[in-house]
Amino acid sequence: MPGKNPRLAKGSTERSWNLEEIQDLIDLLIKREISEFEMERGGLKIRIKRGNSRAEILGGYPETSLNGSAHSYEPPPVAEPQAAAPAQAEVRAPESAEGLHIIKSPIVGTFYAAPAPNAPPFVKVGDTVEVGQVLCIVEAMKLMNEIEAEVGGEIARIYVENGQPVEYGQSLFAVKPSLKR
Amino acid sequence: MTSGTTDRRIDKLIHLLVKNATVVVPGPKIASEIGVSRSTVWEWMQKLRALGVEIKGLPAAGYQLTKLPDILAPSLIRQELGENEIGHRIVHYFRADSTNNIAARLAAEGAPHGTVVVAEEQTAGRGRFGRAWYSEKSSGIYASVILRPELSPAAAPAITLMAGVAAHRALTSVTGLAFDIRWPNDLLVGGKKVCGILTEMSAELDRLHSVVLGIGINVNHREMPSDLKPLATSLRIETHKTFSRANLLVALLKELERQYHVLLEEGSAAIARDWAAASSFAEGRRVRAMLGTTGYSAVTAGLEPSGALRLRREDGEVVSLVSGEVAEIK
Repeated sequence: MPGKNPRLAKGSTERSWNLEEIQDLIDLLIKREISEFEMERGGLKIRIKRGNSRAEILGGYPETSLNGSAHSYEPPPVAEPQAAAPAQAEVRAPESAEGLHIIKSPIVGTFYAAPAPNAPPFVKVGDTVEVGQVLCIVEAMKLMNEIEAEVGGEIARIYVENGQPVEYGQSLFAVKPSLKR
Repeated sequence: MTSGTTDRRIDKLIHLLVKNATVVVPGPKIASEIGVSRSTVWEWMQKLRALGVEIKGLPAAGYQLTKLPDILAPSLIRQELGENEIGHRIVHYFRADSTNNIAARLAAEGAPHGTVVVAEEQTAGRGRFGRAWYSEKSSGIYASVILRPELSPAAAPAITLMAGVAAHRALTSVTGLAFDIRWPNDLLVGGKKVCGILTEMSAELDRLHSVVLGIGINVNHREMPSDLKPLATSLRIETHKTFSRANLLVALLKELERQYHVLLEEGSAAIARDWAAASSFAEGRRVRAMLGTTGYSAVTAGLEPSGALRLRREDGEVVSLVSGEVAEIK
């Protein structure tokens, strides 16, 4: 199939996905009536599943609102061209459309912004973080998972609140990388 | 010597004394075998005596061990472990801030699966959320194990129950006491905590780097500090006997190895089954579930195969507790 789409076929394996490519891919899947598609490139995986009239690019948006109720959906900060596409796409790339690096939870558990109840949070919006710096703890069954910054940069957004339950893959932080990528 | 990893030659000295426990070992022989001066041997003997090792010094003859040291000396522990992967490498400290801190650092530097960090004393022993773990010198077991399981991060939380089951079995077999497990992995005797486990994971979304399993056991504490007395106890307080920490640690590391393989080969459901068989908290127990500052009353209703605790709330709804903790309601 990539042969049918020159833009995808020519993409270097080192490059990550861009939105235009995803849009093209979705268009192609609709045209060909392909309901499910998965592909990996440059370490980033894309999985597209159709059959739903609503489309969501999950990567980069909070799956729950800040008050922690699971189904109220906070509107994305920027309108996305995909919003109207009749396909559901899940992009498992660590980068969002805005060039922000999204850090997600590797486990189902509880988000803790600070190391102890009365301690200051590990990070705040606007803080500059280094690779490997601890951003939060996600705890499940007393397994404490210290989530580290995968890139250095500025904390652009914190999607969850202290004590809030989080799902696997849920966005926790958006980091604006400090280096040109 | 009080901070930093223990000189391997001290480990060798302990080994030498134990090996020749019934005879008098001449000072010069010790000095030459472990490669230090006679005055260093004398200094180290003083240090070991300060740790409760009884060594008779016979002028012009040498040293004789009169009481086996209950020191978690790597050479003594390792020789009891056989092919155990867990404990094939043991890093010993007389004094450490926190064995979990050291193990996390070693793990980040690439220490292999099964590396164990032990300390005779912790100056900043810790539990969850910055809580302290009381770590009296040479009275407890303060050990951290580095695991590198081939599990996804999402499947890793069952490791905490696995460790609880392993500690339960090891302590039961050595002491004969009746232990209970409070979800997910506190060991209790008569409702008081005797063993705590702090598990810390380093992982990315889809890749687990390492898990550090920190285990604290109150063994030979004569009494607990007054603020802990209502909540915690030691094996000695419960039995009026002292226990060899080395024996307990060996039993623990062997059982951890066994249960670790049960988890990897049979999955979390097998661990959840064994956990439920060992714990009074599994079924029909009135508890208060606490998450951060909020809490609610419920009755326990078994474990999910994942290890999550099922709770029947007062409104009748059954929920699965993944995070937080439970406390019994008397």
